[in-house]
Amino acid sequence: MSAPPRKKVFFRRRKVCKFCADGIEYIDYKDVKLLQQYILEHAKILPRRISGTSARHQRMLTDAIKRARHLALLPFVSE
Amino acid sequence: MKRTYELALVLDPSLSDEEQVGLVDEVKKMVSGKGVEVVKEESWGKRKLAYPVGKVNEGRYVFLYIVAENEAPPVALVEKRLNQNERVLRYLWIRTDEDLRRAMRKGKRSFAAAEAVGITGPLRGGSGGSRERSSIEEAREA
Repeated sequence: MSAPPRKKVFFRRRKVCKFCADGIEYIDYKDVKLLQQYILEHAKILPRRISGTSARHQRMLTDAIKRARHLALLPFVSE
Repeated sequence: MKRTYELALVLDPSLSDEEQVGLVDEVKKMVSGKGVEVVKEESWGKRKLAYPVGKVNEGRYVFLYIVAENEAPPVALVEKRLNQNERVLRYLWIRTDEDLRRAMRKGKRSFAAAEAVGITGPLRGGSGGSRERSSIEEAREA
């Protein structure tokens, strides 16, 4: 048995919750421009492990996105 | 206690501007009553939908901001009528006061949704909310 492969070490920019940093406490479902930044190209909601959004804000965000989807402001799926 | 709501409507794109006004007025009349008032109206005009609803690809977006003082708005009735109305593609009725108050208390900045319904500063008191959370929040404020 060979030695286990060394873990790749690389530096990653520390992710910061944008909403915490900006002091935003209410995410409006009408703010389509903002919400669009948090959906992937297939219109899935961006996971917080990627965006770095705090748990609280991720909850607000998903609620807002789902409301926006209901009103056809955002897609459920795309392509 | 003051409660605030937002009613979002997505209307048939084939309506004329006049028809839109007429329909929205109708809805406003249904909503408002004793202690319940539509304080602000916002229209985005025709907008492309993110996905087709029925057979249309566009919708007329209208948002109503509603304030209710000690009275409940006739939600069930209005929703029933909206469901029956074919010119209403989608609607969304949400209660906003709890979220807005919390946000105004903690947040660093104001925002349009709160201003529209007149929730401006940290609001104290407000007798017995419908959820446990409100009593906890009140205790914390005291």
